[in-house]
Amino acid sequence: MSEKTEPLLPRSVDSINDNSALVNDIAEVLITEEEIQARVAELGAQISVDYAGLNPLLVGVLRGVFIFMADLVRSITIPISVDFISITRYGPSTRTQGVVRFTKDLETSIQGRHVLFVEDVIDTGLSLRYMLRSLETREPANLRVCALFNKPRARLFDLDIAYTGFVLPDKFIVGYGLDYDERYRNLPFVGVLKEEAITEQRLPVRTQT
Amino acid sequence: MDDGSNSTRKPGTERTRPIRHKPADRRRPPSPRPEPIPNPKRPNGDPIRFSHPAEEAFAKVLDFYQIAWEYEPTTFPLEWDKEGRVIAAFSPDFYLVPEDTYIELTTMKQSLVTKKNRKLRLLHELYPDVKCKLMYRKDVESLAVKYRLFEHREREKDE
Repeated sequence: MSEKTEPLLPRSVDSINDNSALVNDIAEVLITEEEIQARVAELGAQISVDYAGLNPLLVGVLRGVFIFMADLVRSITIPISVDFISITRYGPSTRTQGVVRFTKDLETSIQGRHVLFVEDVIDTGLSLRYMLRSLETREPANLRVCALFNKPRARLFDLDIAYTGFVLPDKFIVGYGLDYDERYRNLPFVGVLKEEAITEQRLPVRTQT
Repeated sequence: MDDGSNSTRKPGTERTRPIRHKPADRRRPPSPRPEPIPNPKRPNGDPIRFSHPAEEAFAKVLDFYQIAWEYEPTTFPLEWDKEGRVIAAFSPDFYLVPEDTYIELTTMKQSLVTKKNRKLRLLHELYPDVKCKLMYRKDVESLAVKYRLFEHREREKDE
């Protein structure tokens, strides 16, 4: 029989600050781990009420959503199903590949299902719009969106978000699943990345007036 | 903000200011419902000449996400003189067709966008049904970071 170990204590930002190289890149903590957990619990409780008796399918968008999804489903008290999708994101490695496409599709049919689309963060709305349009063609009974973080200032057009955890300013945030260059996802809080940690993306000098 | 009103002036500056029309003279549209002016379409195959590299990069992002767009398809008259001639107008950079939304990218510094803010305000006043989003330099830079829009330029420069 293995020895009993002390349960892991919730980690505070201060305790992480001592040793984590990742934390050194954070300019400020926007939302603490405790605040996130409290809000996720509220969202889970609300979803449990709204979807009671509907056996909803929660669809998460990889990869940023995996931490939020794990906490959210554990705070939901009604029967649910879970599935994930993934799409290509625009960037240096994909901009020459034409258009966005699914890299992982659903493994569950959503026809006639009550689908709750779960996102970590919504800013421009470009990728969300693409995915919603695609899922709508599969004729779900209902398709709504739950986003832990919403940055409405960055939105290019109107989108209906049924559940929002936090409304954030349009700053580059990392942690709790959100990355920059695949780093910082494992921070338990959400922070603003220091400018020097971001590869410079300065606007080119105007070449024509 | 420059709204054409008679704001309090500093002593000694009265005669150095240019004479301006009263707002009522400058803004009144010739008809109760002013009409936007469609800009001529480019012939097929004629490449778009973007006025800033950020616009070209933004267009590529829209293409990637399969959003149909048009570049400066419409001009909105904003101010008229006493004879009804248009003296100020606004042509947003992009029109997102499926979303029926105009996007104006601003690459100027925040301190220089007062004029553009005013145009957007007038646009909303005169064309309340038109959806137009103004993206400030900071917003465009956020897009650049998110989608790493100019990374290839930096690489090319290094090489």
